[in-house]
Amino acid sequence: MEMENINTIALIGFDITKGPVLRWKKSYNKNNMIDVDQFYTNFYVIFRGGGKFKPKMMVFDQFQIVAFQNEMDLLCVFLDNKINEEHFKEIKKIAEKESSKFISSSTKLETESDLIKEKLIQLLKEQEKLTIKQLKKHFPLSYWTIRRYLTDLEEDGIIVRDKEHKEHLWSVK
Amino acid sequence: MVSIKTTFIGYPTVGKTTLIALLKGKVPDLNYEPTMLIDFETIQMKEHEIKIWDIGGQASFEPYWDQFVENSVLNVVVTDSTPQNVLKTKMIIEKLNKVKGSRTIAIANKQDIDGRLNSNRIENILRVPTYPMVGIDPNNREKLYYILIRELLIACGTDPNELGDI
Repeated sequence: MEMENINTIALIGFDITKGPVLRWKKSYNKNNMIDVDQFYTNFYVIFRGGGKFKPKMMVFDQFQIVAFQNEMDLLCVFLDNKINEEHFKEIKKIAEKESSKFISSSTKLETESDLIKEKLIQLLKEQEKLTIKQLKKHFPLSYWTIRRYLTDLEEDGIIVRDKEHKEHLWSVK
Repeated sequence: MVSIKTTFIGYPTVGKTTLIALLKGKVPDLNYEPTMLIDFETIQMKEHEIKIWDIGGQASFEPYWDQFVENSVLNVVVTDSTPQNVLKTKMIIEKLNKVKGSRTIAIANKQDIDGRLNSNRIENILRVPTYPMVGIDPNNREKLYYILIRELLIACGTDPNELGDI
């Protein structure tokens, strides 16, 4: 680490009534983009907030901060960014690939369940009252899966059930 | 699973985090560690979960308070029962009264310290239901729990009398 990488050093304290307070700061860079006066509360919360896990360093788009805690004081060293963009791009590629797998599978599930519910409503509109056993003929699904869709629709106030002997008869409201 | 938002709000060192720790059955930490802006806890209650927002009381966090209490079913305003703090707390309650759709109560904490106002007097000043409390006493856990449940039932428009006296 060389001194020329250091942009600003600031000491942020904590007042029991006011909250974070900027005790002092020194800037080493004439083209200073870091507005410590405006954002010291945010910086303090970033390092001291969040419960159990406390960061030692944060990387922002245009700068990085390394912070050292001494009781309630936080000594922040703002560094000019020298991050490896290629490395970030690689990480982003992996994350996007993994998340797209998840999103496509959950969207598929959602669409499938919507289609099943639509078909159930349509059948109940046509036949007026049906049991799960009768509905099962129209779907390659288990009794309990169909029942789950029906209770979902019932909770949404779209369908109702009547009891006849031991069986439930489902109909559109 | 239904989530109910409850907000604990009040000036620094009145014992908000200690009360939440008491509800969770944790041993209160007597070394003061201020809440940095906001903290969250969850309490399970049958098929419901109570999401508790613990808001840091320092002045620099005050601009965020309005946003944090949004959609809160119950606002629990905590005072340390000293005359100065009670008067300052009244200002918080006046602010909260402008937020529609939520109920506000007060906890008169630190009822074990010298120079405290009793909870009836505090209630007269704050003009919201006020409950006496000593947050550092683990025996008060059940009492605080019942206050919370009772007030949440009232806030949700349900008759709390089934719970009996607390």
